[in-house]
Formats: sequence, C-alpha cells, structure tokens
Amino acid sequence: MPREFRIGIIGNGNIYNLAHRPAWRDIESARVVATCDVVEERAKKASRDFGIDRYYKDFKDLIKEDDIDVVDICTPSHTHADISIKAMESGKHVICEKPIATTLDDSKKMIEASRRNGVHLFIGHTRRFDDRWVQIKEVIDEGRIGEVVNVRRTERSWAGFPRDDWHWSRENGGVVVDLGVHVVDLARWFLGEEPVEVFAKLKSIREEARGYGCYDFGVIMVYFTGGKQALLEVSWVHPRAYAPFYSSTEVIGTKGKIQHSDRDSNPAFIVDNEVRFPMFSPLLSSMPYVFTKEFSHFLDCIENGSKPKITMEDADMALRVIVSAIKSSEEGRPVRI
Amino acid sequence: MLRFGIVGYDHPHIIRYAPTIATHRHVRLTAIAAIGLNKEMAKRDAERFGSRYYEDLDEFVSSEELDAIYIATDPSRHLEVVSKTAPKGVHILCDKPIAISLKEADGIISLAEKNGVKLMVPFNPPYQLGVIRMKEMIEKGEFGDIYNLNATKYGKIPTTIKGMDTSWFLDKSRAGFGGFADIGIHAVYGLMWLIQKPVKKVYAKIERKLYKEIPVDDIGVALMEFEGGTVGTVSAGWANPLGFPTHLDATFEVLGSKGAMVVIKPYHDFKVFDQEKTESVNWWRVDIARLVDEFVMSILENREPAITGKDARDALEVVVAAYRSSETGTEVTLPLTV
Repeated sequence: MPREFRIGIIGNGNIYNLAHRPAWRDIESARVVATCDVVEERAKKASRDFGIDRYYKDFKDLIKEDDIDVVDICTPSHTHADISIKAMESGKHVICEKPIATTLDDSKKMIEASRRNGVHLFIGHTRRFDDRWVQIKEVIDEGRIGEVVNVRRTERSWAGFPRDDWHWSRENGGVVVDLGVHVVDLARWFLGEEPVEVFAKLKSIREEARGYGCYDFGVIMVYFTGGKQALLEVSWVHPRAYAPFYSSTEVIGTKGKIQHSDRDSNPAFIVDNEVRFPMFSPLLSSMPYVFTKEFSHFLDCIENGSKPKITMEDADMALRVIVSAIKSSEEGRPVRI
Repeated sequence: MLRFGIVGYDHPHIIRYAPTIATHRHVRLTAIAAIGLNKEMAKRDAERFGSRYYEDLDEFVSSEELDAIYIATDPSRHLEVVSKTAPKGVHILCDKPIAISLKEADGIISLAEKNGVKLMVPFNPPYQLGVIRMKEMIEKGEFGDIYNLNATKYGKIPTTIKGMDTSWFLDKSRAGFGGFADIGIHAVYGLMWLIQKPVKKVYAKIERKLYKEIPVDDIGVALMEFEGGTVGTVSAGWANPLGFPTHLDATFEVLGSKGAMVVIKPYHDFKVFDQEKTESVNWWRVDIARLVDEFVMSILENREPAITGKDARDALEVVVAAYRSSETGTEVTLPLTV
C-alpha cells in the first residue's frame, strides 16, 4: 500500500480549475485536504470539489497545518517565491506552477529554501510530461536524427485573460515569461546543452499589454554550448481563429529533422461555417493527462527520494534565459547568460 | 523571337531554367556556353534544344548576336560575364546571389545601366502563388499593422544533386558564402518584397553545424528589424536531410494587428510512396516559368523587370550584414559601408 500524500492547494483560479483540480482527483495516492484562495468564495468552492469543508483565505494558515505533506501553488507568478519559501520553511514539499518566479533573486531564494529545509521544490514545466514532446525527445535520444543542432519552437495564442488579470502585469512579464520559460526549457531539453547568449526582440502590442507595460509578443534567439541554437517565438496576439493554442516544433540534426505543428498534426479539425480546432483538452497547450502524469511523478520523487525529470535548477535556468532576453530587448544587444 | 543564350552550367537551377527558357513562346535558345563545370550536360542540352555550343566565353561573345542571356555560372564569375556581354547590348538574367560581394554587385549594376540593358535577378517568392496572395493582402491592409514576418527555407546540400558537379558551392572563393546565403537569400528577399521596407538591423548566427567535413556554413538564423519596427526572422540552410521528400521546403508567416497568414511549402507537388521512402515531385514550378516570362516581357515591353539589380543588391546587403553579425557577435546596422 503506497503512502497517501495529503495535499493543500493554494490558489484556486484559472489553472486550478482547468488543470489541477481534475488531475488531483485522478491520483489515488493523493488526497486534497485543504484549499486556499485570497478570494474566500473560490477557496470554499474548491474545497467542495474534493468533498471537504476545509479552506483558507490566508496561505499562512494552511501551511501551518501539520497534516499537510505537499503544497500545490497555483497563484500568480510573482507570488510564487513568498508562498513557496514560507511553505518550505514549514517543512512542506512544494509543487509550484511555472514560471518558478519572476526574478532571479526570488528563484535563488526558493532553491536555497528547498536545500536548507530538505524538502522538494517541483516546478510544473508540463511540456516535459506531454507525449508529443516526450516522444520527440525519445527520437532525439535514439540518435535517429544524429546530433541536434537547431531548434525552432513557437507557441501562439490569443490570450483571453481579462484586462485586469495579473497575466498582463509588468512584474509577471507577460507572454515572454509565461510561455517563454516553456519554449526555452523545451529547446534546452532537446538540445541537451546550456545557454550561452541570448538576443531578443520583444513587443507590447495589445492594449492590455501596452497598458501594463508587459510583453505579449517576442522572438528570442538563444545560442547554446556546442554551437547549438534555438529560435523561439511566443505570442498572445495571434488571432483567436488562428488556433485556440498553436505550437510548432522543428528540430534539425546532422542526420535528419523532426517537424510538428498543432495545425498539421492535430487529431482533426472541424469545418462547418468556419474552420475550428477540436477542444481536445481544456488547456490546449497541454494534453489532458499531462498534469496527472506530472503530479504522480513528483509524488514518486518524494516517495523514493529521486531526482525529478524537471529540476528546480532547470526551471531557474529557463527563467535566467528569459530575464536575459528581456534585458537584451531593452538594451538592444546580445546578453551573455 | 528573342535570341537567348545561356552562360554557365554550374548552377543547378539550370536544370529547370534551360527547358523553361528554351520553350518560352517568345524565345529561341540560340546558344549555350558551358564555361565552367558540367560541359557534357550542357552539350546534351544544346543538342536537345538545337542551340550552338561553346566552352569559351570570348568566342561565345564574339560569335553570337544575342538579345539576352541567362547567367548560371558560379557567382564569382557574374561580373566577368556581365562585363563582356553588357557592352554588346545583351539583356541579363543573372542567377542569385547577384555577386559574391557588394562591390562586385555595384559593378554589375553600373555596367547594366551604362549599357542600357535590363538586369534581373530571379528570386522565387514573388512568383509563388501563396506568397503573392500574402503580399496582396498586406498591401490591402488586411493584416493591419505588420508586427512579424517569418520565413523558413531549407534545401538539401546541393552537392547531392544527381548528375551535376556542384562542388563550387563548397568553395567560398567561388560561391561567396555557404548554405545560409544559398538558400536564405530567397527568404530574405521574400520578406523585403512582402513588406516593401528596408531592413535596418540584423542579428544572426550562421555556422557549419550539419556537415563536419565541409569548409563553409550550412545553416543559419537571422533576426531582422525592418523600418517601422516589424520583426523578421529567417531560418535557412542545407538542413533538409537526404531522405526528405522534397529538395526544398519553405514557409512564410505574417502576423499583423488584424490577422495572420501562413504559407506552407509554396510548391505544387504530388507524392510517390514506395517501400523505403516518400518522394514529393514538384510537377509545376510556376515561379520559374513566371520569372523567365517576366524577364522576357520586360525586354519586349521595354520596362524595368520586377526584380532589379538594385533589389538583388539590397537582399545581398542584408545577407552580408547577417554574416558580419555572426562573425562579430553584434547586431549590425544597415546600410553597410562597402
């Protein structure tokens, strides 16, 4: 009989509803025992998702509780550091949504807190659990396309967040942080090398982005050790009809190449009076099972004391490249990592 | 009927250009001069098209009275060929890149001007149907303000083209550049043509990564900023593996305030499957037929061809700037001082 993990979820908004709630309900070895949101109504509603009546408004009350093993953080990115560090100081393992943080100072303190308290800090880079990318990685590792030298990856959507949502705030970095850490991590994972230099051109295009000074479009070139390179693009400005969420991947190796795009490789698309894409997953950037797989893996790592497929250092490096990309764009020059 | 000559059988474009020129309704392919490689192939074509055959440029120039030529030598010889033919009033369709340096490009342009002959350089994107539609929609403002343009263009390394000696591609003194320029200059010109604005800044990484044994670059990525702030990217090189279904592979993407558009592989093909591989055969290269036609019609109608020597020089300048950026590790501002 495997151990049962007792989970407290902090942040019961968008990503919680779309992804974390269904995932936790799927995992037999996990029991959600408490929820927490600054909006009390949301916390209350979330607690009912798990048939419990235990919810908090202040995360500090949740992390004090002795019967909670793991805290799952689904709050706005800029609050990750404060919440996760306090949770780790209370001896909790932490599963935290990506990005790890919004500043390198914060991510450093988070990693230190994990080491100091002997608890795990897992960052939810879901791409590493999605079969589309996992299998591309397997094909690469089998050597079928030789040595990988170039990666091109785009992630495009029309972000539907309300105008006053935290996603548009400058401190959260807009799409360049939100999706940027995904594309950087994916490229680094596929290339198996470390980033050396970054050059980027970022834009604030939509009114929401301009108003708050965040970036909603960016092209980022990353140069890696071994002379390898990535051309990355993230966008919240592609029209809604372009695709609910679109990604394309091109991996070029010395013996071959791999191509994938959500448009060419989608399971189907629907034509009636317009062309539509199937809503095969509530969160279209990820296959529906991805969060279940990710959380199960993290719980296994706690159980066995093993290293996760995506480490906190990996997540920190993804943020490091993005912070450098912002610097590059603002100073108009390449920036060394 | 225009009396047409072909000079050089070095560039593999000749495989499609020779029959396209020879069968044009207003053209007679009078003479072929194989002044470099692939003489046997040129001789066979001369027999096939009923053209006189030469191996010496001076003899070709002094013996033939021509209206126009197509130059398919390696680009290091373009200036030499133009300097001997333009003074005889011969109009020039010169394959890309126009030259191996901006200085030589300037020489070619001024020779054409001085002698009053047409000079056209054939870039494909303006004659590919999807890309044409994209341009029309940009012009009509259907995408609103243009934020971003992307092009990817990859080919197989040209030395694998069967039945031709294309070794000059791997010799920088003859080709000028490596794989990025060979393939990417079409994409660079394509983006410049789509947006009709000059490139102000270029940052690029161009290296030899795929083929360890060759002495030139084989792949590159360039990030450009156009006047007005549009961001452009070009990924290009000899990155199609030998088992890829086609020799070439290209995409064009535009993103604007009112919409977006993608053109994937703007060629017309059918697919052939056997037990080992899938091959895609380009059954109609409408772009090449139209490029040749545009050049011919510019002569007959006595007007500027759609792609001028100056246009080709502008594209070359961006490519030169991209290589310079890659060498120095900095963003390069245009125009360049030659």
